[in-house]
Amino acid sequence: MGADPLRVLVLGGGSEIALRAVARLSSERDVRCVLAARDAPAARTRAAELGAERAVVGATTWDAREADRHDAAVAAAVEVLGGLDAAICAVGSLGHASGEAGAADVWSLMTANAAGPAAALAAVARAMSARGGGSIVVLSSVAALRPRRSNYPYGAAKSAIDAFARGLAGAHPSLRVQVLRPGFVRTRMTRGLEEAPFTIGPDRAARAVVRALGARRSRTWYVPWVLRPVFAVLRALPGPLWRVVAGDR
Amino acid sequence: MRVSGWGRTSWAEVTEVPIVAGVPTAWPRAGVPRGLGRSYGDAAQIDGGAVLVPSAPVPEPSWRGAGTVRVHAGTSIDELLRWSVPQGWFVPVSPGTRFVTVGGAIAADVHGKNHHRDGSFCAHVRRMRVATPGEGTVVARPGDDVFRATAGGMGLTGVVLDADVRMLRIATSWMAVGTRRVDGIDDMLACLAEADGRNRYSVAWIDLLARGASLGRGVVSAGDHATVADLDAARRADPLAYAPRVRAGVPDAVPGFVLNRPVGRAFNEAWFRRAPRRRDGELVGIAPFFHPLDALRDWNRLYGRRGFLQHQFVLPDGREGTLRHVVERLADGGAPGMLGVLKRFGPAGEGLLSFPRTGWTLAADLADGPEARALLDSLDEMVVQAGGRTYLAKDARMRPRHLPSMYPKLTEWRRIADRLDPDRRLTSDLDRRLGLRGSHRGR
Repeated sequence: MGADPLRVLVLGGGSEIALRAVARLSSERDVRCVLAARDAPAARTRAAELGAERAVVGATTWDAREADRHDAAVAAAVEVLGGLDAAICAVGSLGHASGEAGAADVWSLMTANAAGPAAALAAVARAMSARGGGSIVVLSSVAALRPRRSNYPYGAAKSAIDAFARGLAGAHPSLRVQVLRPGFVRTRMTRGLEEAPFTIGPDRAARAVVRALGARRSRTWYVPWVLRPVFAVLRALPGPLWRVVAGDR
Repeated sequence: MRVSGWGRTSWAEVTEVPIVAGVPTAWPRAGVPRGLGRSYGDAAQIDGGAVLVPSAPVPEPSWRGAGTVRVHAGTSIDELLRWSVPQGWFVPVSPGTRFVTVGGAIAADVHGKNHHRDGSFCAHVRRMRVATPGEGTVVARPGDDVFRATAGGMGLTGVVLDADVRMLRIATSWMAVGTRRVDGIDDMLACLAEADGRNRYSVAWIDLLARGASLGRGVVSAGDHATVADLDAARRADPLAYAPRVRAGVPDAVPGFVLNRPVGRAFNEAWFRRAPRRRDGELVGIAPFFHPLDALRDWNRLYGRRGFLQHQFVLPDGREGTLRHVVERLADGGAPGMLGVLKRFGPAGEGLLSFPRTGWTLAADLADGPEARALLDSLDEMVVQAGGRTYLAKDARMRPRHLPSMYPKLTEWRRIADRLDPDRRLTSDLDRRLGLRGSHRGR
């Protein structure tokens, strides 16, 4: 084990992908991690189930939808960690499907998946820049690339956080910001949904998070990688054809 | 996450650091232990820092010889009682709520209705383990520096991990209670002093809205654990039955006018008239006798969004004149105190920062606001001049300058605290506000 522990903040600390990534990281080196989650005790329990309990030194109840608490929550976590080397932003909720979503649902979804995490990432970026740099992984989604009828509010929010994260990378040269665009990942969030082609398990996604954290420069990642060429084609398809391929009928 | 004390007057953004296998997963740079958050002010929080919390599940208590229980610091008095009462044992000291942890009871060195006779909680602790940043895990026994600094040390010397507590044998889960209604403060003091001679437990509820001839009127309640012989046939069938219930809570948004002066006056009048002038031998359950407020969950929300100040001070014997003066000030005050709780303390224990000492102690709730704070500031002056002190576990607003005169053993406590925590990682909003740990030596 190395000398200095890697100090990690997980936004969306209940995320299976993020917790598996922390578990994987901590098997390789000394890791100290704080989980920021809507239900902190549940996130701690989940961390233990997924083998990350050794790394988790703290947890804080944090709801991405509470506008005025992002700075303070991040600051308190950084204080406990004694600094911040890495952050994983894995906040995500699929919410209701598109058609029936009312104004309140859309607001909640956009805030939870985009506005809240973006605000927290701004606080993280500032904390890291002030300390000379750091590494951030943001879990976006291929859903960010082109709206589908079945989940366009989610896609729109992911699109926003995706663009925000890429902008962050440009604005803070001392930061390495990795934007991960997984396809369908089998997790609690997607349980019961119909799987898409190129579906992967949570461990594969976690592996990608760990790999991205170690990358030397900012970039976007597709998980699995084959989704990059696949979506290069899909994004170019005319609308009617896209809807057929995307199963949006 | 945002947390506050039970009075909901000041809030702090904190990260929870669980204590796993006897140590925090990492000593944060700034943190303080937090149990169930029942201290009223800002003792169990540090804005922008960590709260050290017990990691669930907390292990069950176990017996270490006759009458002594080894209990994890994260265990609540409620859990301890549910475990011990059916076995015929009671906690040696119970504060006004059973929703405090054993760790918190040690850190505040809490007292109960039996202080005049049995002292405070730490007088019954035979041994405790304390995790400290500077010296690792320390076993502390009465008389040790670590013990004297941790008992009443407000969590600033280390994290109490577990404690061996001497319990009290009981034959039944019932209290035999006597009640006296008294019309004024002189009667009340005499009645309380007299009750102390006869009963293990005694307390008085005082109407802080009554003035003039009725000043200091109230109800004195005193009791002892009932014996089986005191019980009727129905209760004898299961003399140690214990299953306290908690009623549904109070909503988060209570308008501020629910507890105002006219409402308080009407309530106090009804409550005073309802009490019998004299009644003896009434059988009362443990929960209603010791923990009347616990019957209503989240009762602290009754004061609405701005929260409330709970104030408690102690005055030495012979300072009854000051006590009367304080009661007058509260009764005249712009900020209404509703019901006060008056009690006689016995001698102080060994905790260097422990609150109780021989004399009279009065506790009162006041809706928070500038008037209430100004009133309490002036009471502090009177209390300090009379050689008394204010209770840190309840404080949310005291001025730091009073600290050394209220707590004369502060210097000795600081020396021990600095040894156990040389980097001053243990700190709270209370510590920052009052400078408990002292000046930061050039840092």
